[in-house]
Amino acid sequence: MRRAERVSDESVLERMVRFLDGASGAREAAEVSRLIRDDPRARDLLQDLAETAVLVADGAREGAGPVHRPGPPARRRSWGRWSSIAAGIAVVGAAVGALSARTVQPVAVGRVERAVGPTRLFTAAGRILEGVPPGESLGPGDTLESRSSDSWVGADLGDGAEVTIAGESVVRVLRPDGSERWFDLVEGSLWFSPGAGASPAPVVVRTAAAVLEGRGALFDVRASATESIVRVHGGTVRVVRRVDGAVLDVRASERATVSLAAADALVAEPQPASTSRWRLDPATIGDAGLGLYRPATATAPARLAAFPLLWREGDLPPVLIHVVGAAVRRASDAPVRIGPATRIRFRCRSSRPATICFGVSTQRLGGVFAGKFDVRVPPEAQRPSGDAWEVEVGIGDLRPVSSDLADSAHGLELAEVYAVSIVEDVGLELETIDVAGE
Amino acid sequence: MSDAETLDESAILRVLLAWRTRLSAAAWLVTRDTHAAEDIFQSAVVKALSSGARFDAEAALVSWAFIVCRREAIDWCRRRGRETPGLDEAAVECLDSRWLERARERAAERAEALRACVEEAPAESRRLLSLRYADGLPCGEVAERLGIGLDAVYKRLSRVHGLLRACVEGKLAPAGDF
Repeated sequence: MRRAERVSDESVLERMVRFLDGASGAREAAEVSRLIRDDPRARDLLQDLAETAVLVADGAREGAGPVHRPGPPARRRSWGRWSSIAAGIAVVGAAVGALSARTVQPVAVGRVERAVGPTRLFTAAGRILEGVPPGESLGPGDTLESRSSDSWVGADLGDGAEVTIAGESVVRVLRPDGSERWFDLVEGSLWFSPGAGASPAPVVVRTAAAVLEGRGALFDVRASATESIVRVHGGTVRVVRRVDGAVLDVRASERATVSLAAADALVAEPQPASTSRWRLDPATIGDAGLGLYRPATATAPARLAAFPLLWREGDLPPVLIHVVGAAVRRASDAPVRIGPATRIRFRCRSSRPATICFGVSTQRLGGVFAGKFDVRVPPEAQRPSGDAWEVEVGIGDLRPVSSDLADSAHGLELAEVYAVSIVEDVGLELETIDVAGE
Repeated sequence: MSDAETLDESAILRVLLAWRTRLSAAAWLVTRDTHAAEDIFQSAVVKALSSGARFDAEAALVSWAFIVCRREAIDWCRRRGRETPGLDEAAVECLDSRWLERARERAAERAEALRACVEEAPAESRRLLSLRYADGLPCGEVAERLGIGLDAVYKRLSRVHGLLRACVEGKLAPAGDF
């Protein structure tokens, strides 16, 4: 490159360095914009500058290469691990390694204790694990998915605190901030139970609508793209509404609904008393329905149809299942309690006889995930009823899926209820589910 | 469009990782915070994988990702009340289209060349870059750390960027081209 050209570049770069430092006023910013619009070389300079900035930060996080920083970072608390994605792009990782300042161990936020059903982990390093293995370490940048209503993941956060990711949920692990563990609940539900000790480390959950901070609190949160509902069962959770920064402390036995719309007052209210009855209506269940909605026809009422999923558990080969059901927790304002006399009646259709697995997933009343219970019903036990057939399941018929959780559904809260055909697609459809008890 | 024509999850992840530096850089130009840029890139990956959106080609995915990163970066600034004067919309569009044009560049070789150039840079230059971008210090604080004036930081930083760029171009030029 000619010297004159380099000098000219440096002049443009200095203007951009000032601009990016926030030192430019509106007039100077407009001048940089004009430069970018008019001069392709200026665009390249700015882009190269920005890419260098990103690579330098990556290198420091990776902690590889010669040490060259004099002390701890002034503004950042810890180095994330997402940048290990750069390790997948070998040259990038190597390029920035030269700038790193110190060797930093990867941050482990927790460890998977148990994963059931179709689950998936996208690691910060770019790996995809189908069926999350127990013992897998969770760090910043990792994303966990539980892909069906009856799947879940439990993780130990190291100090006795536990997080359970419910079915149909997507959770991202963020960089810890000091002792705070941060999670991004993209959608679905989480349960938190705190560790023992006088000063448990706080947990912060970010959703689309709210930021929740619990310190020693037992709580669960359910989030969609526009709304989050937090229920506190022990301790206090501080809720910050993201749209306007409104703050609310939610205490034990209270719940709060946080919406993206700030028009509503942000208030805590008592959690509703539990009920022992619930009914699935496919036409009105909306997002809480787990299946493909089929509207009523001249010959059949509205129903939900099963959809295919690959079920993976541990090292076992994956199994294709077809699942349909309902997220009762989302569909019912009041918790639905399972008692000794609870009976669940499923009214279904299918294209041919097959053994169907009927089940429920549960949580403790005012507490954390409590496991799944199911029963397999052969065709001969499915009672014909018009064009459909019915199965009634008593609470005593249900067997625990996980031996290390509750051994009976009695006394628990109904989270989800589902029907599954295994391997075969038998055109399984649900017309209604009735939960009844004392 | 059939499923066979859409990018599957592995392909989406592969493409986004290949574009990671540029997507993060696009977010950084708005946030001016390398760690926020990293978070924004992560968020774009999660959205691409979990939103159910379908992409029939790499170009469509990358264009979408640039838009998502830019929007999230603007939201990030708004949430923190960091609305410093930015580039106007036409300039941003010019930058985005230039980034897509540069897709044909030898990105891996360029990064390798940059690595070598940084290794060869004087220790003081590496320290300057690290304070400014890895630690995220504003230039005023960098000046205090280094015991020099603010203008000197601007000049040194721009000179380091200029030298790195010249160094990279020199390494990428075919033999005998100088």
